[in-house]
Amino acid sequence: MSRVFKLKSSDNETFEVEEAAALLSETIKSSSSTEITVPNVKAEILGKVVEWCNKHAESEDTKDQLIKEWDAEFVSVDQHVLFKLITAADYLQIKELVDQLTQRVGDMIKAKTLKTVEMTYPTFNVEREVQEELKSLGF
Amino acid sequence: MPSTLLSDLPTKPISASSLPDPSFSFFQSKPMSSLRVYPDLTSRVYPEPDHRRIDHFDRLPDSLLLLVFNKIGDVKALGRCCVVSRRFHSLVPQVENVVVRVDCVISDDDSSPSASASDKSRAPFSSLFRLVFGGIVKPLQALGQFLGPRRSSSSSSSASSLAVGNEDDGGELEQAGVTHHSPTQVLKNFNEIRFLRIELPSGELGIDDGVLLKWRADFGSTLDNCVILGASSVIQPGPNKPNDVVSGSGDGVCPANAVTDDNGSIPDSFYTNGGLKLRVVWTISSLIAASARHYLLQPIISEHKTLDSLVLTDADGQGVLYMNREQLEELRVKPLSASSASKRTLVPALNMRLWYAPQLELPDGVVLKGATLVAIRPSEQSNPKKEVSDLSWVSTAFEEPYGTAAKMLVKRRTYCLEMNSF
Repeated sequence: MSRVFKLKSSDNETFEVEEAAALLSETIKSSSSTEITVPNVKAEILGKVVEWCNKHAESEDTKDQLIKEWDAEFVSVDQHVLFKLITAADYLQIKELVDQLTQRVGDMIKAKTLKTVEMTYPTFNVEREVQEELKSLGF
Repeated sequence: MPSTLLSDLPTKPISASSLPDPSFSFFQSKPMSSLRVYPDLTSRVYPEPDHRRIDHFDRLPDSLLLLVFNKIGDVKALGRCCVVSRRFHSLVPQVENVVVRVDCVISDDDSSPSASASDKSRAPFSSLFRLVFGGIVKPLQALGQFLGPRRSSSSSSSASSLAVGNEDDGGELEQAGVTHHSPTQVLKNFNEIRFLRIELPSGELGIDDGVLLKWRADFGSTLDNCVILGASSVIQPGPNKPNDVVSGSGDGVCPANAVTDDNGSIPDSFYTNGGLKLRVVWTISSLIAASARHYLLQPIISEHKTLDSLVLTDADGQGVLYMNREQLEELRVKPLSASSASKRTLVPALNMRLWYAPQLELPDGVVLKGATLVAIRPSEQSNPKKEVSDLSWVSTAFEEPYGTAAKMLVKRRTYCLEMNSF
């Protein structure tokens, strides 16, 4: 018999979440109560987190291509929302969601950068060394 | 009025955690009227109503910001992050996961010719190698491009060659000049690297078109093991069924499952048509490339004691060098022996096992002609953890589709070879 958890946002909206989805959160997992208030997280954001949890609870195999596409869509949000989601996911300790969101931020930072540093690697003339080596073998 | 208020602001933040960093370049272009300053000055100063990126990062605790940096990995991007703010600057050195993508290699052409005289006195090789042939390796293109500093623009960070611009530029950063950096230099900015991956722009070995050559080497203080996979040609699956591929190796009729219908032996023609010579060259070339890479990693390894894993690969996927934590520690404790002639690690005396298939068809339809697999280990195993018969390290050396090729080849007849140290 699956328990139902109640998550309350900072603006007093309550979300009902099935056990499988709720337990993706370490915070909820280690909570003694099934009613959890999430401070500083508004309903708009909490709703999205719940949506993510529901999606990931129903799909067993997270390596599935479809869910990857869904995840990619999910993190393609406005920067404003993105950072709020990170804070919420961090509070709720949903590791995979935090990973996906921070990956997105990282990708955005990378995409903004242009090539201004030339990186060089010193090596030596491999071909010449090979020829010398072969010569010394008597070839 | 607002401007007076602004001049009353302390030059340093009152509370470092609540105010953004003094690198106020982000705020300079904003008109004063849009700044809202709270009377007690301990609250955050932020531009309204635009939610700028620096705001968002303030929301994140250091641990999450560090997580973002670890996901970035790319050292150039991190270098830019380093100059964004004091906070970023203090966090970047703690990044554990770093990827260095090298733009170009500079070939060191001043190895002295006199050194080769001392190499002449070598012990004779096994008879398998006593074949006379000249250098077959195609000349390596030395990409020694020296780029001078470009015309400087008005960026403020002229002291550093990692340029950063004002965020208002709409993503276009002005370049304050470009200079060379070696990976060793750039990595000095990091103190806690655990996972380091360096990617050269291309493989060192110039090989003919159509030839497949891949190596994977694991090093401690010296070579621990090396696996080489080669093929004289690679035939992609066409629109026809794989059965239609014509065999050119002289084996006669070869149906789709070429591997199972011969006895796995090397045909005699192999020894006379240059097949063996070519494979010896592949082997020596790969070992030289690998030992050169190992040698050049020394300063990085000695400086970064927190390393758990080091991978030096190239964009062509030609060769990959691996070192794990134990191997890295071994190198710090027991310095490598350098080859006398050149800047590379000495390759110890080796035991080699070779497998060959005139034609090998992979499950995806690709056909490798003259497919060869060589598994190399030092003759003196200081730490013989594995049985000689355990070949798991060979079949797992490469990623797909070459992993499968290796697995298929090890089932064939094994030929053993030895090679002296060089």
